[in-house]
Amino acid sequence: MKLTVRDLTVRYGDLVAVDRVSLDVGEGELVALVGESGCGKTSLARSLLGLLPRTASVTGSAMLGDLELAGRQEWTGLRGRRIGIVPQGAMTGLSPVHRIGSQLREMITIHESSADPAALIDRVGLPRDVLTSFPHQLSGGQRQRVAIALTLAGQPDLLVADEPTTGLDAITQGQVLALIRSLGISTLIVSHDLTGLLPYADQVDVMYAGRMAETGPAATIARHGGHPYTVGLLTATPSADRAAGWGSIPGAAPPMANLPHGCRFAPRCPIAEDVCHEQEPALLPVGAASGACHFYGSGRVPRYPLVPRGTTDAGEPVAWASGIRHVYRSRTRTTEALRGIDFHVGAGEIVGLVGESGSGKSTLARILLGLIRPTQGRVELSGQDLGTARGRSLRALQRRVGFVHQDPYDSLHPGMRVGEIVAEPLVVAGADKRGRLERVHAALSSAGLSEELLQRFPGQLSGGQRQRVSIALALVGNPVLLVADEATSMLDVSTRGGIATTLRSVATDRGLAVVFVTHDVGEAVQSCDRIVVLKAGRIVEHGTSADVSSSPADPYTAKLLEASHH
Amino acid sequence: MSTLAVATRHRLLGTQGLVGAGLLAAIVAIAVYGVFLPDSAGRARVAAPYAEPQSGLPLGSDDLGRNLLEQLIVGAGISLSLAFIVAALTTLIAAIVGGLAGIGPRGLSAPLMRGADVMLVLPELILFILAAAFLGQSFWTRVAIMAVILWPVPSRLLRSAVLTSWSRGHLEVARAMGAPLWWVLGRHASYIIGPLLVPVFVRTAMRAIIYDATLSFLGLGDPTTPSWGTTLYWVQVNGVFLSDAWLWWAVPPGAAITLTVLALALIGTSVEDRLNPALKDFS
Repeated sequence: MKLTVRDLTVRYGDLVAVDRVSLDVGEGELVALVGESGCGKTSLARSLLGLLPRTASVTGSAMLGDLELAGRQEWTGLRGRRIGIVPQGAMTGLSPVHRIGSQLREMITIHESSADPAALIDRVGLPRDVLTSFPHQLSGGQRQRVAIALTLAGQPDLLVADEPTTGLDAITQGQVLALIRSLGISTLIVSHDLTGLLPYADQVDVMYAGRMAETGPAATIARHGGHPYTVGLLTATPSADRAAGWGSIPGAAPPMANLPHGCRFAPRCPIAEDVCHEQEPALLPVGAASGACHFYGSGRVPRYPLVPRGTTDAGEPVAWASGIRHVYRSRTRTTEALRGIDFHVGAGEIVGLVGESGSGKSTLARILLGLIRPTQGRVELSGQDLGTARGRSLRALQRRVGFVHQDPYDSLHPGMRVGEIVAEPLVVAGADKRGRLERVHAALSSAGLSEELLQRFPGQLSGGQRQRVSIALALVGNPVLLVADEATSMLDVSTRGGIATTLRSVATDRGLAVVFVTHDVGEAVQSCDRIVVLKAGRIVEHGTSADVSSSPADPYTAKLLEASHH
Repeated sequence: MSTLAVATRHRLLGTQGLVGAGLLAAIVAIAVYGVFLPDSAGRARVAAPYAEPQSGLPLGSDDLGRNLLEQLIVGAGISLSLAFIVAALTTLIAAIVGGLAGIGPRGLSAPLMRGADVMLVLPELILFILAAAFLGQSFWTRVAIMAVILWPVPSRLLRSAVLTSWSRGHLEVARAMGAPLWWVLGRHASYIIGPLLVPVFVRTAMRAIIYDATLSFLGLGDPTTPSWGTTLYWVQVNGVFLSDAWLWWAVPPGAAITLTVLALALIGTSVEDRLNPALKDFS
């Protein structure tokens, strides 16, 4: 059934999370609502489901057929029967103690529907014997299919899916989206992943800072010529094709409480002019699409900074690891995380360590950091043995390795100011007091931060700024090796390339050896000189980024590359 | 600055916690007043035995003609100081045991935690009674007995807190930068574990008050020192419940114990609600 949203506004007190947004979901259409964290997409979806917290107020209109959803108080008989919800992360959404069949029958009973469990299971493309299985016996993709079957039990007219593919690998993501598309029900998918949804969506709506930035058919949006923000999002998603280039949008999305005057994207936009800072643009229709930009359809192409490639050859090897094995032991079982790894990284070189979760890449990173002692094998850091060092000598070696942690929201002490955080390695090492401030300033500027932030607490910074503070903290002790563990994975798409650019510049300028751990082969192809692919504790592929991306030797690498080709 | 401090305090305690803090402050003020009373207060004979409330004797007197109001006030000081000393000692023991079991040398964790488990399955009250009966009834003996018996629960809690904090990002970063253990503990772990000590302290103080009153009530306290539990012991010995005297003899110490425990519970639960993200109410 058709969903028509007009001038929908969601407020939390004085803060406007969704600002006069209009969108349509046609009969049987799949519409993707895309944007980064804080853009208002989730608030919009929740307002359609009546799931907003009580502090929120909704104005405007959202008509499902002839039913008004905006500002509705009474939701009995609507959720599940008229509007189906495909939850985020089916890992936890299913009851672990009931069989799939009885969970489906429960849904059918609740919604007094005439659906048949077996037919529902057929419809989501699962074998019938799933009905007698428990959720833990199914894979992540199968569980997401079960979650969709549960949603279909109430025979809804509209599906709302909030990040339905989060936590699934790239290959399974595509299969789940293809399934949702094949259902033929009007669907609104909320996601941060524009490139992932483009092949499956009929219509794409891109939101930025609470406003609709661009809306149009997926085919038009994909053509790289529309709203500068959409173009930025497309170029900021790293492709496994090394020729494509990986860009980033400078700056960060504005906080809800402090929105810029005029066009909200103007402070980050490469083609912005005076008019953009003064006047808020209305949605301009051009062809089948329309965009909220003063220069929409003018043919101006925004140029975003690309992550630079390495130009210098690698210097002397800084870190060596040979014959590394590592076994985790617990009372009941042993897990072999690494099974014989030979690895080295040279000065001025970025080596990508690629693998899915459980491949052993984080264990290897922690061995290089001296946090874990390998069960077997030898690790050397600039000629000194890291594997056998203990106590004071181990700590002295650790000071020569910088660490950028995966989670910027947890890796900075929340009660310390940026200045203290960055200076901490110097204090710990007992460095000379007089030189400290200069070294902190130098590290901050290498990491691309201004000195204004010295007095701030981490809670006052954006995710990208926090990760730059982490980089400054890693650089301040003049290390020879930098280990970046999934340093971009928790950041917004638009700022990831910026972090990779900074890593490249510190590798070139300071002659630093960098180990870049990632699960995204596209990022590694775009930003690293060499790539090492790990699978189940073994190296399955090893070579320069150009070679690996153009002619992978191992079928596993080929599959990974194919899934992130776009 | 002061408005900010008040605002933070309100955020930490909430209305419920502030009521508890106010109540506790009043009880502490009465206890402090009691410290400045002469030594004979509540111990010397000042009136006829079993005197009813009258002017100068608001709560009457007991079977030896001692002033019951003064007993109540002096008892407050003894009960509270015992509770706070026990709580401080227990928190210290729990922090050391929990810390060692969490990040201490390998092989120490299992014996410490199994030891705590053994202590947990033993019935606390019976342990108290046995220990008090055999070891004596002086103030410091009771403090030592309680600290030794009350540490297992908080030490388990603090062990898990240490383990959780050890896996936090900024602690891992600090260890990777080559910081020594004392630095990681003092600068980073303390920030996470420190606030947890508040509810541990408050809850232990609460249990200490109840157990002290229980022991005294059973006659295992020091019968010569006035305390809330001792007063209740004499209530029971004299069969006060058979006369009207229960109203001024039994009710006030009972109410004092209840109010003190209530005040501590209000503070403890509201601090815990605010520190424990799992208990946070988002509605």
